[in-house]
Amino acid sequence: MTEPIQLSDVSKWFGQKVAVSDVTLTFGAGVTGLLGPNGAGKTTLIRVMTGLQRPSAGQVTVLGVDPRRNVDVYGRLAMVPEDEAVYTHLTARQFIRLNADLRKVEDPAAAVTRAIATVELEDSAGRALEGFSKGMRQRAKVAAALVSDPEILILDEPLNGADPVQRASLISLFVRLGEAGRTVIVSSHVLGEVERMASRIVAMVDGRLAAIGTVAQLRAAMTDRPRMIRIDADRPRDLARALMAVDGVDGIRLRESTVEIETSDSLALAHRLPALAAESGIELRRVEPTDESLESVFRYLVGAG
Amino acid sequence: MNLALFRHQLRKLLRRGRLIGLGLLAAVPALVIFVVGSATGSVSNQELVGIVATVGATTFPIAALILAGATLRDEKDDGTLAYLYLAPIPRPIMALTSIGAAVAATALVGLGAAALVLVAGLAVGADLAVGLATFPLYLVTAVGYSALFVPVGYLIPRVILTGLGYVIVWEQIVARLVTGVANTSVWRFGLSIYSDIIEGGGNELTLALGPVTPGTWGGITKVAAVLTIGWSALTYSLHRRDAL
Repeated sequence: MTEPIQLSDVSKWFGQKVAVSDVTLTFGAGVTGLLGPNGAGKTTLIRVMTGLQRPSAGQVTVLGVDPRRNVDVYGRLAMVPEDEAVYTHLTARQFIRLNADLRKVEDPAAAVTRAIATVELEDSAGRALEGFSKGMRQRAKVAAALVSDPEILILDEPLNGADPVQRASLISLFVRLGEAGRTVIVSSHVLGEVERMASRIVAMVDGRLAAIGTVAQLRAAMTDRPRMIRIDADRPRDLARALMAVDGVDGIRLRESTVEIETSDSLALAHRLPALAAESGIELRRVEPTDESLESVFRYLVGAG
Repeated sequence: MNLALFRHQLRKLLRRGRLIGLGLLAAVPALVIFVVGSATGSVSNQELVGIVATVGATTFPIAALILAGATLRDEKDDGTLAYLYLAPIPRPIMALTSIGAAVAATALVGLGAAALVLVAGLAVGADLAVGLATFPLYLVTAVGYSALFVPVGYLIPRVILTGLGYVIVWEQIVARLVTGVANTSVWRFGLSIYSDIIEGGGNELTLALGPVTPGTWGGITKVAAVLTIGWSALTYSLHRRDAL
């Protein structure tokens, strides 16, 4: 089955600045996290894939067509733009209704009510967006996107400004949409949140694809990256001295009762460490990786980019 | 035309603060007529036409520039254009609707200004027919300026500066000095209709028209050409240029 969004050798540049470089990938059903630091090219990639910007090179197809040539596809796709881009003079209900009308939604009044309920904005729907907090604006934008019940939902930093409760609620909503078979693409630089909602992650650095896969796959794909291991031992100084002769140990840092090791071969270290401790009579109290979070993977990618 | 888009854009353009400011700007010719009439006891038809043709040549085009230039530019600048652009509206319809909304907003301001000219003219002794002729002048130029400034606003970030260059430098200075340039002036297309309706109008109007021949159908044809070019340019730009 053809994936709903396909990008083939897509690049986008503005004068001398290359914002997206030679990206080939597809987006299918489920939640995909588009991850990268500010300036990585996430927003540009989203704009190119939605047709808001024309690719400088390459091809974009959404549901089998080029969105810039066939605007009918916009009836099946919705986007939540970044920042606080809303019509501040409208109430939330008017804003969502505008989107329903522009998208030619059948029974727009009912669709608006449903969308407002989905993001739990019933109490504030009659207020002007001008007075909304950033988090509430995000929810109004999400409701405006959901009002047409789109097959594809693309959200550019939708959790910015949302409080923890709102974040949890929106994450849960995106997960539900993904589980319902919708194609949901969420860009973010808040790594823990992406990890909570996305079944697949696309990491971008400097306009290029750095990695694609699940969090576990991303880690597995980078077995050769240096990892930090923290060891709590009764004689850390002696342990550090003994570790200096072990292959694959690239760096050692001594901190009070712990030794932090940078290793490019964590598997070999895992095999050697117990024997080494036994030979030296050192008691190991705790051994743990310090950088197994997505954050560390991401930092590595950024550094490697 | 897309009714949802038209309603939205018109409502956005006619926000109260903007409407009051532009209404006051467009009302300047009526104010001048009233002040001159009050000072001298009366205003002749020719004097009224002269004030409309010269004072109105700056005030109304600037009001039209601010409205039409903002039609898509405001949304492009603040990022809300994404909501319009990602709607399943064919680009020719989107372009025509945007220009149509700008025409409606500009015409509303223009017709209000024409009504004030009529009232001020009647108050200081001018003929009803001369005052009534101001309505088609403002209506036709509302169409011309909207067709010009909506695409310019979409394409150029500094639309006001660019538009002022056209209204003040091109129409007011270059068009007076260089023969032939007058035929690129939207204001003069309107004046050619104005002149035809009131059958003459005196030296001020003749001077303002320059080499442009008075004629209702000629003026309408030229504005229709501007509308066609503006619509085509905007449609092409919506297709080809980045929306954000």
